[in-house]
Amino acid sequence: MIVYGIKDPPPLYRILRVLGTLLIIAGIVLVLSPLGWVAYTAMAVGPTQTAALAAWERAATPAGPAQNPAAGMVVSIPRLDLRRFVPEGATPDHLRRFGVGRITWTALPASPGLLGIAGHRTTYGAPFFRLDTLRRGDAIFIDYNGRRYRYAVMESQVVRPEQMEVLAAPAGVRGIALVTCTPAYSAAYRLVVLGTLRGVSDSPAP
Amino acid sequence: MSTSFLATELDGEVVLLDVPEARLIQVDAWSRQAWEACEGRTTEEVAAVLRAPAKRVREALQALAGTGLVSEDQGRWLRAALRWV
Repeated sequence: MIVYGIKDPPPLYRILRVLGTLLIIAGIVLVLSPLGWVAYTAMAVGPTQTAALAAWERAATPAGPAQNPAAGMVVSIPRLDLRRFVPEGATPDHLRRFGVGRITWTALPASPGLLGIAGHRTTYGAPFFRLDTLRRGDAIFIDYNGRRYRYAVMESQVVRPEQMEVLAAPAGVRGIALVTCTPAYSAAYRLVVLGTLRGVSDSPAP
Repeated sequence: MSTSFLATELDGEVVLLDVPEARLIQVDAWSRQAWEACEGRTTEEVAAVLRAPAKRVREALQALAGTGLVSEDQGRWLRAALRWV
């Protein structure tokens, strides 16, 4: 004679069932957590970036001789349909709040050298998520100090994080370097898109 | 004793669903014979009816008692009510 319990399984079975359920939940959380993190950081950076961009446009001043990096700048990349306020300093705090930031030790737009802008690839609004889709000749605009600087993409490089010498331009060169993590969802390498200055004009009215 | 056993026959064996305890009981052919013969009898009387050793009969009836299908009262076995389906 055999008795099969339906309602009350053996303790080991119950433990395994609870453990299995927990593992399934943990797996789901593990799979969804990156998506949740992307969504959470995007929500965190969105309003701040929008407000900063609006404030920057309200305060936009005519072109002047004095440079004021603290006022920040605006980067526009038509191919990426991207327009972002770029605060002075690519600090972790700035990158968390704005998604992008100017690398302070790089050149300002009006100066010789490379203007370096770092941006998040997948989180905090992911401003540079599609940076790898830029092609030679694509336009990058920087609005700074009442002037619009038009750059053209020349090349892209993938370097190790410590290879920051890529941001050192040869003497006399004026250009731009957009830096983000690569591959997407990894911080193993840096994708650097390099552009050269093609022209300067007055900033268009916001 | 539970009276909520639902019983059905499968290949000579009886399968019971004990609803309150939420369990299935599969009664083999030999235990079924012991169960059918035990009503109001002592173990020895059941053994005589089945022409089987009393020890074997007692083991079967005690196993049945463990499930609530039979109970012993003053040395005599009583069967629980079944509802055949």
